Amino acid sequence: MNRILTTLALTAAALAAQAQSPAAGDPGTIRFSVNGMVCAFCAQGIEKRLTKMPETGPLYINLAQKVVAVEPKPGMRIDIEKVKAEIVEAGYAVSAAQAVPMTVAAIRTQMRAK
Amino acid sequence: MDLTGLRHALDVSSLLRPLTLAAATLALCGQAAALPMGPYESSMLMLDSTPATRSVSVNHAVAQTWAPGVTLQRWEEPAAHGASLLREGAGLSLTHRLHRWNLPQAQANLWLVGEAGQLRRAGGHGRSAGEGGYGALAFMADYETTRVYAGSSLKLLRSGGGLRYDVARLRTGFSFWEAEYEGIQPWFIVEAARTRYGVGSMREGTQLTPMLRLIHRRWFVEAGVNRDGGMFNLMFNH
Repeated sequence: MNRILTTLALTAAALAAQAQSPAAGDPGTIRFSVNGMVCAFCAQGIEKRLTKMPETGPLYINLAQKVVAVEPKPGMRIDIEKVKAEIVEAGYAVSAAQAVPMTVAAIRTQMRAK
Repeated sequence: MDLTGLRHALDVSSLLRPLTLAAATLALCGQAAALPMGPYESSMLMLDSTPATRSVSVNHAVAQTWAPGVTLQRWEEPAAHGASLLREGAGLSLTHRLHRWNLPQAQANLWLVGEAGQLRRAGGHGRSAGEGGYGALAFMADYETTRVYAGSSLKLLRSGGGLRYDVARLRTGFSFWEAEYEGIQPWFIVEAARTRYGVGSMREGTQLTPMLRLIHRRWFVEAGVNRDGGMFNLMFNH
């Protein structure tokens, strides 16, 4: 039950992030949890696809925590479904996607500190 | 193929049985996956070198699970009096990912690689020189987390005149620490490889090789030493 509620909450958050432009001061970063992303080759395949997208700005990949964080370029926004499709196309599975009001640089610092 | 040839061909199963069983066990456990091809729309270059073998292969992933390519290989088959017989092949390959398991903390894959081409054989020691077609089939399985790796492969190559070259491999290892994607990831890997050559081959046996593996973004390098000398593998994904 908790899992269902969590999934619903994440989906709602993702839809909200898609439907709305980021609030002022919110960089519009989306954090994806990626199953199967365990090696540099996996991450490199995902990075290559995402950096080809015109809206992709700073990007951070954390193998240990299976996280891909994507920040849009100024004035643009990240389309969650589009990024999900690219990750799936690279051969991996997205288990969660969440808008986070942080820059990729801040996420990098936070995750490295853990 | 005559009856003797057929008997010898079937005999490979008994010689490779321990490693084949281990490979099958890994596969049945859902543990699979080495990376003989890169992600969709990427190209993979693979170089392998040991004292007795050299190979270079390139393939391009035209789909998530398919990668056609080309491969060049040469190996020295042990012969009498410490001599060796040289084999050189050039062929086309087709790599297919049969299945991938994307798990929360791991990845596992099953692969099938087919290969066909032309093989040149040096003669000597009662065996004839010549040139002819060859075919090869390889099955691979691997399982990997950010800290642990296990993989197995079995490659069977056949050519005219009873020539064959079969290699079964088991690999396992661990990473020294949980590395960042942006850093260099060092691994310790041990490989057990068993090679079977044609009828009357002078040497067969299991070769154990400890290796250091370094991965950095699109580069993958392995270097190791066994009783025959050094071995080196390189992969580059573009």
